[in-house]
Amino acid sequence: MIEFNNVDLGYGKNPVLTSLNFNIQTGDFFGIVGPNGAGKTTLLKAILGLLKPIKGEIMFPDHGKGYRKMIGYVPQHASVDEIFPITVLEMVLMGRYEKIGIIKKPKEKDYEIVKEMLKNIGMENLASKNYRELSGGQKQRTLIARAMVGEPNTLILDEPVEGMDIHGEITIMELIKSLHAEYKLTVILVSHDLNIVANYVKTLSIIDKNTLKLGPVDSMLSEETLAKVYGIKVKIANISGQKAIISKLNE
Amino acid sequence: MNDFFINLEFFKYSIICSLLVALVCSYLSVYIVLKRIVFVSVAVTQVSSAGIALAFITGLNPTLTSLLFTFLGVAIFSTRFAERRLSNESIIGMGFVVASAITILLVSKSAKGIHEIDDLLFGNVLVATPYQIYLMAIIIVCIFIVHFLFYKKFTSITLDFEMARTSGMNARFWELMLYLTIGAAISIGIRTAGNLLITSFLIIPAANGLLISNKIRTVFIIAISVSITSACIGFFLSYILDLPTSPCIVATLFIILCLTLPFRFLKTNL
Repeated sequence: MIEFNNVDLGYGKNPVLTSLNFNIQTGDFFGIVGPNGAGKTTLLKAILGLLKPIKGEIMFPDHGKGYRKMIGYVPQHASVDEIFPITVLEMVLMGRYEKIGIIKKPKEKDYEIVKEMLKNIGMENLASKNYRELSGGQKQRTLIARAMVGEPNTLILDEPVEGMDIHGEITIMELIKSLHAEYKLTVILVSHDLNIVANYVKTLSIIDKNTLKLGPVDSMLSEETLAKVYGIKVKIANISGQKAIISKLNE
Repeated sequence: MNDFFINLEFFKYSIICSLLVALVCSYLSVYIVLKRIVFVSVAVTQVSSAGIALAFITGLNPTLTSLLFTFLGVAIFSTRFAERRLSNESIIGMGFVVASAITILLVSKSAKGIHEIDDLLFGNVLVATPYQIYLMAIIIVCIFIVHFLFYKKFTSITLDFEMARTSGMNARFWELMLYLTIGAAISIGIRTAGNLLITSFLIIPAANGLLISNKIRTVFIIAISVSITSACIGFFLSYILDLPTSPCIVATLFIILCLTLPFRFLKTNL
């Protein structure tokens, strides 16, 4: 569980998000959405321990100070510098480095875990391929595998389907969903794509006017709330059991 | 050509110095190019030159002064400033030009003047003594031990700094360690090899390796091999053509880089 106790987040003395009081429950599939510049990345950085709160405390009661080793972080695939010559296997193995120890070399067990994870995400045939030669979706799967081999109990993803076509989006989201179920992971996902988030997360948090509102996805996704947050009228349709959020351009 | 081998005894210390500088700088060049901190290394080299210039006019120990200045430069340039109105790049650029100006101002007050600017730019092989070589060898061995033991840390922070931080690693500490080893390599070589050669060894060999190979370990091997080969060929050419040594080595590094371009073209298009 992750607890936010009266937390203010921001840069310098300028708060971006204020009075955050909420919990992310163990095993939840937690989505964070909000307009551009609302503070999604700020909130993510705080959970990852990259940004200290201006006020209040973020607690990890299940893990204490060792919480970072229990978090698997998946950055946007575009943030990994492709100038680095590295194979898929080597990239995923990097996720084991903190488990292996400072001076020790990777052992057979580490390679087995990496190969098993590559198999799980359908990348075993690409293990020796250079990372920069992969498609966007394959890169994202590689980064998910890298986060997973560290054996985390919480997976945090920053815009996991950014820049992907519809097939890539569904493939990645289905992969995250299956990992969430198979490994009983807590998943925290930041995305600007409401349609993706609406159909996968259990708890939805919406950042609006320096603060955060959250609840079960069905109760949070109302046309009134979205219109207020995004400043545009929307229609939420149910098509064959899937939610579709459509903007009403002419209203 | 026979003269060269006859006079080899006379040059042996300077050749050993050049090879040691080539070895350590080309190894570190891989991190410098991959981490996109080429300009940091150029600025730190210039700050190191300012340290040597100060030693010229004050009579202080050049290696120690250079080391102090270099570590100061490393501390400044490796800091990620929170100031949003100025980019780190512009701070490094300012550091470079200010260090260049200080160097020129300091040597202009020196009795030897222009000759010392030559020494700073192109190095001075005459200061290559057995003591200098032992000192260089010890520091280089220390740098390689640190890099051998903490290879995983250095590759992690080079590939993906944010991921390294989120994994629980003290990424800022390991980044500072990387910068310090780069600074130490610059300091020990600047007096003998000079600004021009050090900067070249910190950039070109890695570029060569990255053009040829897709494997990081092979990139290290190519970078080291290219720089040592260039140092040997450049030294030989400077002797037989009666040209300054550093520019000859730099020209050789560049020619070898150009020769690899067709290989790269064939590899990607066939």
